[in-house]
Amino acid sequence: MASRRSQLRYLVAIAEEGQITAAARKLRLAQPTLSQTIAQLEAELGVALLERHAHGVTLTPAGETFIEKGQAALAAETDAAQTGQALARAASGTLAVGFVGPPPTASTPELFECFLQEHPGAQVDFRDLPFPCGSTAAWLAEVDVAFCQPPATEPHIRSHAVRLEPRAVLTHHTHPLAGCGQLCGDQVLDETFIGYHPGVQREWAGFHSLDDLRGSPPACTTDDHAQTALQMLAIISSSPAITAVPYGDARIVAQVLPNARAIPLADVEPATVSLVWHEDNPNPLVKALLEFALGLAPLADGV
Amino acid sequence: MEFRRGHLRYFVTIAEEGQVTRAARKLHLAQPALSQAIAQLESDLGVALLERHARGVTLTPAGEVFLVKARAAVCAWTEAVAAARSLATLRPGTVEFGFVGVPPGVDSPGPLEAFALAHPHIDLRYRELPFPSVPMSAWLEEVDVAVCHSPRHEDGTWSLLLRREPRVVLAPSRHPLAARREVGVADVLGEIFIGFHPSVDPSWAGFWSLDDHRGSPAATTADRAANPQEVIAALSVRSAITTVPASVARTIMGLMPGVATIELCEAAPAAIVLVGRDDRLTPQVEALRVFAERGPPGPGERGARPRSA
Repeated sequence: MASRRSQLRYLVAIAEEGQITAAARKLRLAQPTLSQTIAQLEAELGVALLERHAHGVTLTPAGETFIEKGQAALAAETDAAQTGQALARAASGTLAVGFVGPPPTASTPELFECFLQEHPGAQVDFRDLPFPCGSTAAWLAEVDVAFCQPPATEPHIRSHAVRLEPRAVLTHHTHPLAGCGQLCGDQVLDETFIGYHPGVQREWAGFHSLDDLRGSPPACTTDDHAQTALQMLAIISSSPAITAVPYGDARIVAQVLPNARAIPLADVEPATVSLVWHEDNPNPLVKALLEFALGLAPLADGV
Repeated sequence: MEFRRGHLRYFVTIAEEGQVTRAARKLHLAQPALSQAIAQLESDLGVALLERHARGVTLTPAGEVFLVKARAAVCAWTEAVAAARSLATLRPGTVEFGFVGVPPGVDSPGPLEAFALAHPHIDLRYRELPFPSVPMSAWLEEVDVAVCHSPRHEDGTWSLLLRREPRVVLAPSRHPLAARREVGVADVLGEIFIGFHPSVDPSWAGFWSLDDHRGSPAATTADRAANPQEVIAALSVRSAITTVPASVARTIMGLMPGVATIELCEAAPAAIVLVGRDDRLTPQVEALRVFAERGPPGPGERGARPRSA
């Protein structure tokens, strides 16, 4: 039997497409399989969720309500799973640290060195995370804390600034801007930026595209659907698009990728690199790591 | 990770019952199957949730923390299913709602507002109808349901009594009766009544001319009134009367200074009825019918009703 999560996803797809055939194509399912799954869910609930017409289907009020409340229930289930996994990590003395881009041991080695000296038995698991899509809580599902520029603010999600860092643009070495030693915000705002996956949090994509300086998304982006830092690097090294990242990360990238250039942005607000966690996380090692993070004074300049 | 179907509910039930056996009974599961499912949940998560004792189970500290979240998720699913089920009969749709004379929302807006609130997906569309004609099924051709005063019964139609109302006399203000506050049936049986159009159901028209009390047709004017406006228009130029239900009289009193309303004593009341064609009994009409039958919750339904021995 399909999980509630799949059932709900199928129902949403059908509602969006207005047709079972089109939804099956989108979900890459056989149409009878999809019809059967929904019929099974309707039988299970004893409620018609779809109204069948000559040219397609629409949601019944019961279907609309089931999607709305079901999504809230799925979020609660995700929350439970997250708590369960954090409990399991706590039981084995493990702290799962998520990061996006260069690992935090490269950008903030002192934090983890101190932490591990103080907690010699602790195991730190580093997890490379994609860019946050959807809710920040769901994005944090597999980790205790994440090390990143702050994602979308959300209830129950806490963050602590670890350091302030100048921002830099990353370009291909053949890009007209590549030779510049330093750039101002105004010089780059009209450039073509990397295109992000539409699901990526707007604040996140906006940070990399300097939306905060421009007040709006860039006029020109590539057709890419970047969802991870590595994908972003692949795009930089093969296209004339640029992106903005914290300077520390840019410098590491430029060392690793010989055809990429990191150019500091002189007059823009620094990036805030933070630790982000769910306030209900029961793993005591989260608090232990935060104590060290609190001891680190945020640095205003690192160039 | 994704929980397997039922696992969260199993865990919450065990935590609440304090015993796997009792929880299994409550969940209609075999005890070994339930034990196995919980062991699977613990292994999926990688943490022990239950401590097994000879006399039952208790939660581990991790189990206590997990219980709060598991319960929230189970409640959220229960609520989602219950909310969907509560809307099961309410498919979106339209009800063409016919009325004669005063729009139904004017004299008694309460029940219709309550209905709209309870069934937001049902769109009520009001349609003004002429006086009922024979056959009723033809008169109801354009609507799904109509509210009407004392219609005749006819095969192929259904009706539901909403309430009874006294009949009230309408007379032009210069009529000799107009000065009276109330009259008896016997006082008015000999009056001249407004004439109705031949298309109007004769027994329905006769009711308003008090034929039911007289036992024979009334003396009428030569008017051929087919709707309430025509009755009012005729009243203003004739020295004749007619009767209407009290709620209609109340509305007319406020709007028509040229027409007097006089209470009619000893007359049988008019029945205010919901009618419709059997072949138009859609789920939406059914919802309206059920709502009308049950009525808005009265004071007796909210508290304990005193019971006689």
